[in-house]
Amino acid sequence: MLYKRLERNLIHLAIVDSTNDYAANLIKTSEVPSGTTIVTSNQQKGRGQRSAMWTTQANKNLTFSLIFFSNEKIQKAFYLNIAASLAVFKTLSDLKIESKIKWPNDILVQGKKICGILIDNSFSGDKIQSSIIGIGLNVNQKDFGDLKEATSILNEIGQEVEVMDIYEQLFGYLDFYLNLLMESNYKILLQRYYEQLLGLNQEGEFESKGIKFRGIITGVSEIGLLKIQTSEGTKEFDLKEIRMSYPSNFF
Amino acid sequence: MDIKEIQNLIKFVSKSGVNEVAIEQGEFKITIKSEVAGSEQVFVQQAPVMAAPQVMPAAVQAPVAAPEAAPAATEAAPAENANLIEIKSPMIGTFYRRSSPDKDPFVNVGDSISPGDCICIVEAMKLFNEIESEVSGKVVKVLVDDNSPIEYDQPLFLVDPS
Repeated sequence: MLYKRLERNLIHLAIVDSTNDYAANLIKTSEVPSGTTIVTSNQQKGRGQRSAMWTTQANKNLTFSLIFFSNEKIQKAFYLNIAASLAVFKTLSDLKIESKIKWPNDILVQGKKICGILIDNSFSGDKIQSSIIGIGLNVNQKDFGDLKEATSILNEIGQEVEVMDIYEQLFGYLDFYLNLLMESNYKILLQRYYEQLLGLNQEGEFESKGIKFRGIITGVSEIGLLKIQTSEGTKEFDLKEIRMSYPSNFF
Repeated sequence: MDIKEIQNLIKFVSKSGVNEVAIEQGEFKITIKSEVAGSEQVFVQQAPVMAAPQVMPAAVQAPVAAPEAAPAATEAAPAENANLIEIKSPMIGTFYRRSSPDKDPFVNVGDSISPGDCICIVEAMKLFNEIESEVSGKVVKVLVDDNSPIEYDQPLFLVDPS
């Protein structure tokens, strides 16, 4: 397999607090090629959006952070989320799992979360110096305890799969979509993202700063803000400003 | 040897079918070569004391270029691909042309295919996916070797829809 943008450089850790933190430290202390991946079978303190904890059962799931040097403009940072989301979506699609992307970059199956993505960028001037694409994908975990809104590949297709087989496939698609990004194919990426975006052009209920309102998701802005058409016109929201409750007909 | 004689000599050599003629007369040397590709080339070495005859590469009519080598007998691609349809890989994986090593390929060059026909298998994450044609036509070329890794969107087959 020939990769266009990523080099195979896999660091497998038996146990680590957070693969994203480990990767950040690695960038500071050594020179590593784009594509370097920290993968662990046991992540202790995974971080999610808004510092939410992301817990995973040991040896069951795919948890990794991929280091990517894009030298992309800061304004295009959201396209990294788009590329990573599409790579996960396509990998699941190859397994005959139909998923949707919940803005900005959670992957859901029938409303249940199967994958979370957290991207840490560091900037230099108006360019993205380095990106750490953290991905947590539920693979062979069957029981999620109190977490009703979670699922895994096992729960969706009814059979266990090799975690590293999933990684190989996902790595290939990360290369594919990051290559589209590096070739400045922003329109294609955004179009494909919209095709899988949960709730696009559908009416939903939202909450921002304690106020509930109804609106229609019309897309995302160039910098990744969620655009919602409300009775007071179209507004753009940051992840911290908005909560969504999707009606069941979204899924 | 004057210029007229050289012209006659070149004409003679080109008609004779020989590839190369070298003549040496005292301090005068001339070599006339006929390249495989067809164009005549004349190399003249002249003793400095003598007036040098001009080299005349165009003095002879080059034989008409030989027809292009015939395309390979198997899996011959037509010169123009403009009207052909590419069937692309729907996923990253490993490309298989047959259902098992001892079976015939699903399709060969020259076969007619219709939408829904299984044309290959792509294995991804240990799942074997039968890939069906979405087009009808005649298989003109198989672009990927059996049992080799393929990329997303990589062209696999060329099909002539006419």
